[in-house]
Amino acid sequence: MASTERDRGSPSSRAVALGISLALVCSASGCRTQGKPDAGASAALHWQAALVDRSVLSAPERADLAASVLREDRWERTEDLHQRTLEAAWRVALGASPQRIVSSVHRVFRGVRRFRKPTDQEEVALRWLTPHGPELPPEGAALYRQLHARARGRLAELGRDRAESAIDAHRFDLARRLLTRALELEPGAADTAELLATLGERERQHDRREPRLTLRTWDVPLAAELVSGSLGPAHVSPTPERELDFVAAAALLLQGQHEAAREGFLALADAPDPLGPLASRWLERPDVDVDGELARAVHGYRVKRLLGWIGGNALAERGTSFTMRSFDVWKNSFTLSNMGVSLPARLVRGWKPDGQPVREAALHYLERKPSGPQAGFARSWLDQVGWPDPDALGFQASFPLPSARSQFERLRLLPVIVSRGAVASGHVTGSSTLLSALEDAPAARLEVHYPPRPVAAEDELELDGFPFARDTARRLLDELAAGIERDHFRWSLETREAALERLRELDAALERGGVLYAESWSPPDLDLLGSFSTTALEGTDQRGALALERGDDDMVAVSDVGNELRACPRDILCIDRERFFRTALYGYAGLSSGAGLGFQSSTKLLGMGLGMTESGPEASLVLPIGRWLAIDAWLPLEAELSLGADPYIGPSCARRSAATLSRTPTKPASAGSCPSASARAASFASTER
Amino acid sequence: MRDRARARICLLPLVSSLAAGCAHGQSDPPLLGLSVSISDLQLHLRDDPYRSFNQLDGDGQNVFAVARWKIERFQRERGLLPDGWQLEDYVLELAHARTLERLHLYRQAIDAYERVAQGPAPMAAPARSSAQTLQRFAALARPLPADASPDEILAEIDRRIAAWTEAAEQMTDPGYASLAREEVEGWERLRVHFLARERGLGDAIDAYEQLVRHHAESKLHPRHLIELGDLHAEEVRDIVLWARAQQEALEGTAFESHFDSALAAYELASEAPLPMFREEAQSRIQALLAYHDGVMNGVY
Repeated sequence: MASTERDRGSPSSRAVALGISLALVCSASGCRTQGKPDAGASAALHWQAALVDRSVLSAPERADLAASVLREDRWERTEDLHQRTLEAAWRVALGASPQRIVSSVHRVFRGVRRFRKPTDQEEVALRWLTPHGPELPPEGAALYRQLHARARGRLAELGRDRAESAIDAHRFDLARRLLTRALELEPGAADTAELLATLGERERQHDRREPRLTLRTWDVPLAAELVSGSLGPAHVSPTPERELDFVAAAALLLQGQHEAAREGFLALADAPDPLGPLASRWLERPDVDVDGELARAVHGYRVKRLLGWIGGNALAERGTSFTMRSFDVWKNSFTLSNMGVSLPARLVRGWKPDGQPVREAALHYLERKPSGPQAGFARSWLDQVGWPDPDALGFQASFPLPSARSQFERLRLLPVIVSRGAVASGHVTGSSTLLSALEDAPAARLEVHYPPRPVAAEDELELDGFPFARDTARRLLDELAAGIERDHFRWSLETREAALERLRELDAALERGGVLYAESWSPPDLDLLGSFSTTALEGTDQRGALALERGDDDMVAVSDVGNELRACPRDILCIDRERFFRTALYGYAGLSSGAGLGFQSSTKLLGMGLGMTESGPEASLVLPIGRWLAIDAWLPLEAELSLGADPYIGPSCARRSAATLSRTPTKPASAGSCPSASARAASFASTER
Repeated sequence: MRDRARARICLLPLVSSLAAGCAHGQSDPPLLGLSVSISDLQLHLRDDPYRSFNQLDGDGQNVFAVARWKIERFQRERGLLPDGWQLEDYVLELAHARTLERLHLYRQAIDAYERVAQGPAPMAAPARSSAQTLQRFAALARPLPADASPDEILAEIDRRIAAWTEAAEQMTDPGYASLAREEVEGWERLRVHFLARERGLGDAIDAYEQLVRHHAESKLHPRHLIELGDLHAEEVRDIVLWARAQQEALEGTAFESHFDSALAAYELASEAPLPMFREEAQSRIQALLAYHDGVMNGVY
């Protein structure tokens, strides 16, 4: 969406664009006007007008922008649905396996459902329509009302979800507040009204659960002794009355006889309501039943661990409750990819839940019974879940506060990695600093450090790398940005804007007094087994020359040939020289796509691939017609010619390839070996994330 | 989405009614004898209200508030005036007074104790003793003068802190000592907020750091850390606003140090065992980071 906003630009930029367009049209048609001898003067006038225009977007313009945002969003969703439908029809027509047909039909249904769901674009459109005063045209005002109502509906839905959880947790006050708010947001909503009725019912049930006071025949003298603090256990004579047993157990506890009191409460734990639950509540207290606390914590940990192995964090947290959300989590846990790939991966990695309850219970036990029968058991569990960090509570003894310990990546100024090829491409002015960093390494890592205050003596500074002079540093950043803008370089981040933003951040840091350093950087060594397990668990991994990505039901491995950077760390901007030829070797294996391997090679104007699938060899040729006609920015048209024994080269494969090609103009073309795997392989190889 | 919500709504009453049916076969509330209720209350009275949240039950309700409600209902059902009270009524009133003092309602607790002190001997003695203690508490909890200047208010707050501290040290009954410590903590928190309002954030931060040191064993310790983090975060916002208005760079200001302190305080609070504090601290961390992003991108 950001790009849409940028594309639209401010009135000034639009006026500039208009001026340029007019100038181009004029110059192309050779137009002449009286008193204005050439097009250059006309263009200059337009430029001047554009620069003088300082007006902000008018309300009708904003309304128009909002409508266009929604129109584009609808078009994108329609296109997506059309593509899914076409793919399903293609598979049916070619007699694909039932599994593939079912999978395609499922995708179509998901596409239809997506149509009904609110999107981020609605938020963007709403922002364009705000403020929504009387200056908005009627259609804009109507659109605002519609979007605003939907936004309120979403908030109400969120409130209902939270209220439902609050009801489950018996937090009735909170639930009522949330539902009242949901009703204000969406007056008359039936869902909210029904939940309010449910809440009222649950509150009444809960009230009824509170036992009411009554007087037994023997009660008064005993209660008088209790409340005045003069009751001893001996005063409670043994009777068949179970309530007296509770009083006796309480008296024992009041006198510090924990074991005897625990036995008393244990004997009552099975008693009917309200005595049983009351006794059980006391047994849950660590000061009464430290053994029980440890046993319950260990049991809870084991259950969570089992659920976590099956369905990860979501199932571990919600798997034991009895709600629709929990049902959803269970349902999602039984997908093929989870059972086939993620579950074994979690087992291999030894997934563990949060061990804090066990840690606390074990510590309570050791505190109360350091030599008790379960002491060894408690210690073994502490070994397993971790003993408490001795520094964790260090703050209690002294102040000022320690430094923030978390590594907040968001706050860190991220480095940029530049390959030797990019430096030698001629688009970057050589500097001794950069060459020193590249002396023994294929790439240089550029990072900004702030000089410490007060400035330390030079020999005390322990920063790695070679510092740039300020002017050289800024020139280098400018040249790298220009290379990215002009497609002289390729970059590792998703979009050109994201890559440029990283450079801008470094530039801003220089402005704030930072110093740019360059140090040698080499890609990490390949650890194939570690890569596979990381990919299985986390979805992607990139170590050394091999990039791996796991989809819902397949895994792709790609090696980009001749790539100097090879393994760019995740979320770091890596810049490499743009090569005329780009070649990637790939292999894939999947439940619906089968297995295959091959290579893809492409230039900006042609792409080809050769592969071997389960059905035999195949070849493909991609002709980026849109690029040939220089219209790919608006219409990324391309033709894909495939030859092979596998009948499942559907139009979606080409469509995806075209979409990716339009974003990264130099990516290798799809080899057409499978609908999902190779397309991802191609984009993966080209972006190196 | 609406379908899902409807399905949930349909399922919820079913589930709840099933659960209710399984758990409570009867429609009338269960009955519990006075002795059992009193013994339960006595057990809770052993808890240290300053250090622990044991007075909260599994549903997050304050057991003393629930006990007070039940006792008052029972008293209303009996409908007897003190002149006509029997032994059980004095028992109920003494238990009532205990719940009131744990809810910091000292004046009402004194009244209840004084009524019990008129009754039979076994209960009259402890009631008189408690009333005497609570007279001191009630005097220290009296409202601040409305027409005093800020300096006078601050001096009065300091006097109260000193007096409550002295009371906490002098109490031989651990329950009352714990209550007094809660009061010291409450007045110190008030002092910090008063300083923040009247003297600026710098003094308030210093005072809060002292408070955190004094009350390291308090059950509210994570809460103090969150509030200390809030003060640092407020200082960060203050610095940003001044820098923006005066077209100054943030470098060279205390922006980074306050930001780091706020983050550190929230981090420490997020290690608290109670989920309530953990969640609050984590959301504060996210909010602070979002603010930081905004500052770095010139949003503010």
